[in-house]
Amino acid sequence: MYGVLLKKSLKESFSSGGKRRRDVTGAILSVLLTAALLFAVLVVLSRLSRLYVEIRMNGVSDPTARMVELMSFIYAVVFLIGVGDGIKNINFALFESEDRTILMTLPIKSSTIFYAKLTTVYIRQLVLFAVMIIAVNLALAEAVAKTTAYIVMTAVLIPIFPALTLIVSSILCFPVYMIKRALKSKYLVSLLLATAVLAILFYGYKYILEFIRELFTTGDIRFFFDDDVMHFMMDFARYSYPVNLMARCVAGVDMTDNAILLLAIAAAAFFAGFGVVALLYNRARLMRASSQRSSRRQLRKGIARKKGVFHGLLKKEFFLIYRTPSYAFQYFSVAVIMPLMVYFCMGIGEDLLRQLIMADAGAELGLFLVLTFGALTNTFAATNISRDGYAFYTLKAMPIKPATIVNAKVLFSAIVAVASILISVVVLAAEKYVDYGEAAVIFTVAVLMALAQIAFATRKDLFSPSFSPEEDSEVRESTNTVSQIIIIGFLSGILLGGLALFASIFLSQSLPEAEMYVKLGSLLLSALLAAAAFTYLYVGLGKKLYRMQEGDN
Amino acid sequence: MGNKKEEFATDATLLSVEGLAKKYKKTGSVYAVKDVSFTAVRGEVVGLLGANGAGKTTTLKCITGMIPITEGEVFVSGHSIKKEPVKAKSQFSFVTDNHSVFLKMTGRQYLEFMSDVYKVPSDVRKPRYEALEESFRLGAAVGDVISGYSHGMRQKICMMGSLMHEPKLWILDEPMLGLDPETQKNVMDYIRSYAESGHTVLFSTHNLYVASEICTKAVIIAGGRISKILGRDEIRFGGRRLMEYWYRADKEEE
Repeated sequence: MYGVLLKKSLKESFSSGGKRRRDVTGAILSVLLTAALLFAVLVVLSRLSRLYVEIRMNGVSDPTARMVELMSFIYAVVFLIGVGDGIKNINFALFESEDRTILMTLPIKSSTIFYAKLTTVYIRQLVLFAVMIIAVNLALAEAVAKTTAYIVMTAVLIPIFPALTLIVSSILCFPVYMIKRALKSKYLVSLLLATAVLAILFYGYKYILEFIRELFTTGDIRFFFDDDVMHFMMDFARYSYPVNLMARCVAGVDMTDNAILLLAIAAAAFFAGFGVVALLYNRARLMRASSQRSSRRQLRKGIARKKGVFHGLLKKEFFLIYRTPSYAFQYFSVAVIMPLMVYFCMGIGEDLLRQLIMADAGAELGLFLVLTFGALTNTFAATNISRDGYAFYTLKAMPIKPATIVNAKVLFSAIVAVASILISVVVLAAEKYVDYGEAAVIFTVAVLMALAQIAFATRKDLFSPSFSPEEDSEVRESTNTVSQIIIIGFLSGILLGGLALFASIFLSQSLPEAEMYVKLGSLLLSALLAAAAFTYLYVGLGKKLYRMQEGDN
Repeated sequence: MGNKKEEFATDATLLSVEGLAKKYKKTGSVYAVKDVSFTAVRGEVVGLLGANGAGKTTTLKCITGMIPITEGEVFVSGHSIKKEPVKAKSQFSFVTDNHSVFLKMTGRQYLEFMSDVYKVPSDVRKPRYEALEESFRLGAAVGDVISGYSHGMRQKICMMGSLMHEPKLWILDEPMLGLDPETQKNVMDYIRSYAESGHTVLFSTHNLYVASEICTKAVIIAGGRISKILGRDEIRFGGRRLMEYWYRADKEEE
């Protein structure tokens, strides 16, 4: 029975879902992005490792000790990623997977079901770790002697890593689920937490970017790895079990002792992980049963006064987004973070431009960044119709003009886009990256482009909505339209920002008014694109909505 | 159009379905429903009866404009659902069989939303809600988010929402499905009293007991076509005649 369940579970886990609409653009985009990200990480790690092993402590050079420190730290990061992924996968198997209610009714032991699921989680992690460990060790190999032990231990680490992360994930999955469950109905707290975490991440991201810039422009990393940081790294390598054992094995330090200890820990962790999840399962079942009861607040308020159809539709959009954590995160948090992204990248980008091509092009770079990052907030509009789920069809039976339905959705998406663009340009102007005239032009162009993207995305989603078959109608998968909006955003950023940059560098010498022409051109082009997108949205809207029917989507 | 409106004004006809036909893209040239014609006047409770897959839901979705009509016309208070959809739709409300509702709203927010959509005046909202609460008894759950509702509670909130504007024509698809006997009785009583107060009710069902108890007209549909329209006397004949016609229609279809 275990074999049958494992086969089923693996099939589901690794198939793309034949019945689902395949997002070819999205798949290509995600492969390209992953490859680009991996390449960037490899380049940075490779450069970093070569410089790090040369660091002398008290005038003494010890490349092997340095390598163990660096590896311990990087493996710890990989370990944390694995734990996070493990918690996500175990929690999904325990509490969210579609088949759990069906399997529960079959004559199969609950422990068998979950051993099969846990094995699937382990195999998935095996793939994840294979990619990460090989990539990391390839990058670090630049700085050390590539011995047989290095290669063999790299291969040995791949199955050991998920076994170790599984035990930690198994222990943490239940508390994490409890926290998630407690936060589920506390929408505002979840939203604030998500925004705060994201802001902290971007704050850290700023330091990483500054470090990378320094690494590549000066090659000097000693400013970052001062004595305090080095002592921290040494202590970390000494006490960070079990990742320090792995690092020592790969670097060839006391290999036999460390390898035996590591294998013993891994074996114990592997069996303990299975045991912990099997124990958790009964508790989880009880939790599910008890979660059916909901608290009933007494009805005190009456029914609100008349506000109008459009107002009603806007409120509907608000509640849908506010009470779906993933939508709220996409809608509010990303918009709050966008100005931060623009600000961080502006400082670094302007310096790089000045150093690399001796150009002072703050306004053009600002336009490029606002348009590019703005596209991320506008991807939200790509599910403007799909978000309603099949309940969207009920709107068709109501006395509402098609344009009113669509206008409410466009306006709701535009509110957050305009607000985030406004904050971004105010920050750029306040930090003197651009003057107020340039800020006004960037704002107008970016708002027009945002409206164009929202109108285009809404129409695309109306033509091919992806209504979720899930009971809560939540759209969990990225759609073709999302990929297209990201591509359009980047292209428009490159086209308008890039053209402006090109003109300011190469035409300003021969044509003194070039800057003004560039601004006028950007305004005109964005206005034309916005007009075209709204024409695309509204022409034939009534007919399209009338023809739309269940079963076609 | 002028004549049609006059006709509606004089003979109290609220709904007129004329030669309705529907083909889905998936099924190609096969009609899901064909030549469906019937009327509903004020005070009537019209039951659309048929087996599973007979075409009841398709007919109701065409009438309400949820899916496009392939052939024929539907008039509600003289307004064509194709040519004057907003005017036609403001005359009725529709409760779907799967209780499609915006799950992230609380019950109260949903009722407010429906009141806004159907432009219910502020001063009548509260008394109307209280009257509906009296019948459907959702209680304090009206303050909870709908996604946490049970099947029966969702059915209740959908019905309450659809009645906030007191539609002239109340359309329901399989309204008794999944309701407990007590709520079924309450819904039946409500439908009966709603029609008696001068409104019209159109609903689909395959429950002959429900149909025989509350319908004043029964439209029996089989294989996408109307096989018989029965009047009040024929329906109330202990339900036996209704059953006879049902089986005959099914046999003819086979």
